[in-house]
Amino acid sequence: MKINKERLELLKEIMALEFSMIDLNLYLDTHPRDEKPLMIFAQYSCRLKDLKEKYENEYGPLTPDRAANSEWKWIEEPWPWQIDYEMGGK
Amino acid sequence: MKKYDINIMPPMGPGFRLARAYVPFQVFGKIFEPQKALMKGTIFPELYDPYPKKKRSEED
Repeated sequence: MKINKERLELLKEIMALEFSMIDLNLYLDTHPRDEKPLMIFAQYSCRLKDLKEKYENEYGPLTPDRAANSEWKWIEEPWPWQIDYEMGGK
Repeated sequence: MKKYDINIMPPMGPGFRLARAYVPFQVFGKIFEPQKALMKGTIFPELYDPYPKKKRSEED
């Protein structure tokens, strides 16, 4: 499924931030007082929150828990395996 | 079976017991940008260590 380029870039950035935060999470579990990664984690977390908000305002909920109202809207979005990630990607 | 020869043991000193594995403590350095990290599968350049690509003829 083709989604527009702007949307795809936003989705990719969200995925990349979430991935990087998992790796930072694993590192911080064994180095909980390491200041630099703590700072980066906080930055990514902030940025991820903004991007998710932006994405969801423009395109719809990313996950079912983010669909605020009673409509089950998130199934109207393409499933992850339906998206052509190569299309205009970095 | 060949008898175990203590003389061929690598000398690592008394601090290293047999049959114990060691994981060096990681120190935080540079990390990949998120998009690059996602493609490489890690944020840590020191952990990015892919198998070298083999030519088809070298495969089993």
